[in-house]
Amino acid sequence: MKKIIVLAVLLAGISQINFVKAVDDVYDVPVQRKAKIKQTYTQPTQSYTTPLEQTERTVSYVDEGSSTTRVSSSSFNDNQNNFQTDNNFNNDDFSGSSFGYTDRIIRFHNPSVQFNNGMNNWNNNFYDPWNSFNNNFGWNNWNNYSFTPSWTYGYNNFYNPFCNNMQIMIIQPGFNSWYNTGFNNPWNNFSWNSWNNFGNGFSPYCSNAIFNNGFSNFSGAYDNNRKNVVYTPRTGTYGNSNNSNGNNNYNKNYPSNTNSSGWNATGNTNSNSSNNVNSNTTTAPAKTNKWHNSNNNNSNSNNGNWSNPYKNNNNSNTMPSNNNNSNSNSGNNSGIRIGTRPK
Amino acid sequence: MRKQVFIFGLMVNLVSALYAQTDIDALRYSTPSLQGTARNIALGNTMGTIGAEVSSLSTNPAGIAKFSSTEFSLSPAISINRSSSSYLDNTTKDGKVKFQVTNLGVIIVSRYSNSTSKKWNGLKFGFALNRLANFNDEYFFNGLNTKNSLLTSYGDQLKDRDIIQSKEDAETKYPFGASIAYQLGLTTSDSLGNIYTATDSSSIQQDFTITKSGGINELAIGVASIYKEKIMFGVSIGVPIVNYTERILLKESDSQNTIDDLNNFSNLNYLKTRGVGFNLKIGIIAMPVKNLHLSLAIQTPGVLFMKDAFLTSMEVDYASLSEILTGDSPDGASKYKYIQPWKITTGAGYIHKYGLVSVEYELSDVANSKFRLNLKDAAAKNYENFVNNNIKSKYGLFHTIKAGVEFKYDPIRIRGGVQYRTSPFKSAAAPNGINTSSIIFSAGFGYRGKNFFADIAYVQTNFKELYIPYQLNSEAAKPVPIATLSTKKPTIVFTVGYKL
Repeated sequence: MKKIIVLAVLLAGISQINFVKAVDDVYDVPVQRKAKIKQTYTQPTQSYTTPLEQTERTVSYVDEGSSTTRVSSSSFNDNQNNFQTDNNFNNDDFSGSSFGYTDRIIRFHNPSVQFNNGMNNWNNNFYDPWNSFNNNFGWNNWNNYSFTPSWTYGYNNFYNPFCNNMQIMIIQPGFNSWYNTGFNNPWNNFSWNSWNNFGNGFSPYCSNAIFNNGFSNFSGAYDNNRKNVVYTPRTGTYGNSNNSNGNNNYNKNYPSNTNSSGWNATGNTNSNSSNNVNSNTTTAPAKTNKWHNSNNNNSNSNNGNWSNPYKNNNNSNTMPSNNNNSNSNSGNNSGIRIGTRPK
Repeated sequence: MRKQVFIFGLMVNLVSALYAQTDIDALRYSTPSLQGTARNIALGNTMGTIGAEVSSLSTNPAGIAKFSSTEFSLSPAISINRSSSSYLDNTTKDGKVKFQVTNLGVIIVSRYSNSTSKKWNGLKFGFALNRLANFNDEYFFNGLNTKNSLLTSYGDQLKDRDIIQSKEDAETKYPFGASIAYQLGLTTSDSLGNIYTATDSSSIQQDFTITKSGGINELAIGVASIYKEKIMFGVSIGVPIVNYTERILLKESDSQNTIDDLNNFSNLNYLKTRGVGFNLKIGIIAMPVKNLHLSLAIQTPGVLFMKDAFLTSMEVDYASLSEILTGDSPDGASKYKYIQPWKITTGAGYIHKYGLVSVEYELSDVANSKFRLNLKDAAAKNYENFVNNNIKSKYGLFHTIKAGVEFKYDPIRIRGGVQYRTSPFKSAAAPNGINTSSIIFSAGFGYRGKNFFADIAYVQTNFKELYIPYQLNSEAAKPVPIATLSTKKPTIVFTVGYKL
């Protein structure tokens, strides 16, 4: 309360400073601005006073045309020099270049559209519209080896997480026609005709790979230019309602895990997978060593009574390989990088 | 007493969940609330009807027509986030302080005269950077979960026979979650394809840390004029700039020593969203009677070009290993367009020599917002439809009613304001247990000199979120504990300006 009083007194004090003119466009009626008065310049009247005394000077006359001394015209000589320089086309500003003047005119004033795919065997493949009449394609050297059959990039598993040991051919030209689909056609721009039609075009990922972030059958697009980047929307699986109990969950209908289609199924039916109950938790057991577990209790008997399924039924009881440094993510074609750090 | 005066409001916001991004993204970006200058904030964001306010470039650009001279203003602010989180009967507190700029504006007046001989009275140009949203939040909460774990959810995903049909599938097809856990040995399988998790039927200590940062700023460029001293017209182009970063870290520890070999593991989800877009605003303020203002403004649906970068990183500490195992997802990237919904604002205000009063009503339809993914394959289209249908089914008309009052005793101004925002959820989709409508109170002071002016405003936004960390399909493991995140976000805004 005391502070409120202090505050009120303070405000009252401040209000006394209203000798300052408050300008607030919210309340103020717009004020006519003072018109700018154009200041006219008035010529001061000058009083002319006749000088009291004038001094007369005598200047001797010199006839320039009669001079016998010729002064050389420097500008004329300069022009002469320039003319000679211009004729010397071997001595130009590009003296350090291997291109002579004529070459430069030809190369840079009549340029061809040139591009190449870096590592191909032909270093001078370029599209030359001026010579396009020489063949049907407009490529100066056109044969089966001009393009990327000679430039396949060996994607390792890390770089291409979708398919093991897959070779991606960046451009696969058709030899029969410009208009082969999925072919690098400068008139139609680069395109791939189908994600799943790998044979005809560039598909950056293997068609049978599903890159799933919680959304059934969603396929991501892999960026081959940036390592380990996946273009995929964040397919959130969870709704933001707490009353829906999963109704807003796209994956709400998980198939019940009856294991009817379990991998390596032996034909046995197994209905116990989703509700395994670990009964060994009444007393805290000593920590066992998972990674060096001999796994000798793995009978796969499928009798529905896994005593400790996590511990005893891990067939592949080996540590995941470290692929952070080797860049060869063997056995891991998901783009997931496994590594270690000190504890 | 002072708290009753200054601390106001309860804004019960929305509900979020781990991974629940897209339709919540829509809500996040479709319901911004202009902050702007301290005067605008203190008056409950109603200055768009009164005019002579640079913030109005982001609401009703006609308002800048009332400026009589060129003006500059800058509004730094300090936002103090205080959160209280409740999870598994534990309540924890966290906080964050954030400095920001809610407004930076310039009004350029070409000419203003009260000459009635001319129909159009000068052109006013405005440039402003207005803060539309503040995403800075921080939460920490924990508890002993005796029913389930994040691994239970991952296990559910790996049990889906439509997707996971081999060990290789389990290792690869959920690279942003379950497959990392599988490769790290947190989930495993037998030769028949049964999936097991390290935390099955165990009590696990869960510690969550959620950090959000960023906001939405809008660069608004507008022009306005007055017709016959009766009607103000204005138009502006808004360039919203979205900047949102989210880190959700979950650490699960075997605090009861019931799990073989596993000491603890952590799961970090990181998301960075950047976007820029544009929209158009057209406004009109009519003055049919002296000192009475009637306003109408329309904001067209805007387009935001968005880019997401996201990844998941896990670490596992096994007792038997001398090192921590780490697993990182590939770098997720997504480009898409987000269509902001249209917005209509109308209002009325009255200006008296001792002050002013202003009310506004704002209507938007969150259900009209939608995503357009840049990916064109069938699966992407399918997902796009799914998300947009989700938005339509969850959200509806979004109403905001605002009122503000200012008392004038030259050169001092005393202000107060209130905003009531209805729930953006449709009733059938609204979360249970919390109120998703909100009310925000604000207050402030101002000083107006001949050239210099300064304002200060205090606004407090309180809101609650429900956080669902993961979702399960196994009935036996349900329910998933839900965290209630309560946030108080008092903000103090200063504005200093100068009139030429």
